[in-house]
Amino acid sequence: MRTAYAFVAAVVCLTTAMFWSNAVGWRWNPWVLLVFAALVAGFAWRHAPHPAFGHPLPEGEGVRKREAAFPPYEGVSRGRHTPLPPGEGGSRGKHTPLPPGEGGSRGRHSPLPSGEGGAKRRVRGVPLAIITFTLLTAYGTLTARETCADLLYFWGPKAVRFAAARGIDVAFLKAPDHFLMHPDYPPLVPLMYAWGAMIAGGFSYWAPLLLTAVLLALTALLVPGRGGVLMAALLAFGYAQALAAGTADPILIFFEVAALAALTFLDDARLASIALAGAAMTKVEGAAFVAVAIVAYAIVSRRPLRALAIAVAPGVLLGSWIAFARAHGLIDSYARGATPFVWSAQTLVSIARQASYHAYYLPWLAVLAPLVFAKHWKRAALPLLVAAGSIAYILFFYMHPDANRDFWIVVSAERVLLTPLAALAVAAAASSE
Amino acid sequence: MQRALAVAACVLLAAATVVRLKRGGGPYFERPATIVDHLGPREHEVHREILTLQRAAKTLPRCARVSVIPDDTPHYLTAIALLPDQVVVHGKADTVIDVR
Repeated sequence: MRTAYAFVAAVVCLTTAMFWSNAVGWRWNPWVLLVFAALVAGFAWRHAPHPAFGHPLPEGEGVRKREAAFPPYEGVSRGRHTPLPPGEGGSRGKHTPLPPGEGGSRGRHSPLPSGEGGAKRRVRGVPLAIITFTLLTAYGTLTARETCADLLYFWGPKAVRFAAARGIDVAFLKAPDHFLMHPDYPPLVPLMYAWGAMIAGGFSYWAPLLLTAVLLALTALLVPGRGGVLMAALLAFGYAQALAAGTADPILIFFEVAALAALTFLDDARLASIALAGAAMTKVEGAAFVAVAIVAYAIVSRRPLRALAIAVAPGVLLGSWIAFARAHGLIDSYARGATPFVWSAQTLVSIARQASYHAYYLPWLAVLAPLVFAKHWKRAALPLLVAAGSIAYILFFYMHPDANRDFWIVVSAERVLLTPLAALAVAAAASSE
Repeated sequence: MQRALAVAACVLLAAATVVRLKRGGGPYFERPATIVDHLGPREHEVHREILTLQRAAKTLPRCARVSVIPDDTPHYLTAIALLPDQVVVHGKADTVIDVR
């Protein structure tokens, strides 16, 4: 989890530095950027919260305090992250005080065999399962079975040109022949790929494919316990079926899950804000996700000012990009608000057909079935609200008439619907005992 | 019950993923020539173009104006992707490459 949040911070800060430095006229130096990203990653890793308990705390009293603030979830063992002193291992604080020497007990929730070995045995299966799904995705991407053509048509060319220009190539974006690449599309992904290309001395189209598997693992690590395995399984199938490898969707899902997990499991506003800033700078629909997440958090937490504070980083970043795009005459996607909303039952049917994932709605059943038997619905309120909100904005986007709407739905709906599915997977993890 | 359902869901999703990956066809354990080799039972529309342009990129002079046939959107964008050192244009050019 710490690694995943360090990656979130490093990517957002790196691409922001690239964008802002270019906006003031500087050309990129990939090695300076590498040092900067490494420093940010190290700092974030050092200060990232401990899984399920918030920030790292000393053993004993501190852990108990933290547990009171954020009740731990099943499947997350403190043991693997903070080795416990002999005789005190695995106590769940206020739930079930243990007699000395009976380490590893999970209290009334799910008793484990005595000693630390029980706790270790319990959590060992989770990383193994996540690794299995990561390898499955790596196989799929590296044997060219999950590639999205947008990598060739859209993300790759932008990255190559940005790397060659050592900056955002405005002339390339403005060229009328390149209009289909959406000149004002948020730049995080091309910037990240361009930096990789500058470091490597050239752009390999295999690198983004491999990155998809890495992102799957990091996304799964953000969700505590067995919820991480469900997330990995869901995304492994989703990326394979939707042909999402190499595009911005795995990165967007990563940021979205990071933000949701930070708010749901850690109540960490700073991390959520950084992750939402990443989402807003990854895809146009990332901004809609930010709005939904902020409103949902304000409703669930009843802390509207805190919710507004979370919106500052994404607002500033996206605002600066839109200002840059407007100043250079690149505005396209963000100027489509004028298109009228038209309700269409046929569109709804098309989306519903794509939502089946050609697998009898298996992904939906997989995340909803555990939720049906959930005992802690309240914990899952935020991700459930976000899932509902994201379905609403997806329908809203598709309900705007377009000459190629049916084609648009066929090529994108399976990828776009991974957002509510991932939110439901977070809800399933949060609601588990 | 919740745990059993979650485990069953993961197993079913894993099986569905394997079935989906198998749909791309063989060979299953060889390095593919392009990033679109196994996306479906039929050859991808830009598969031949990628192979052609990968070879052409080594011989074309820098900054040469290049266009491809067919000159439609997928082929044009793919040419931009694979010829970063050249200028890809629609229509007339120094070099016209038939990628069909």
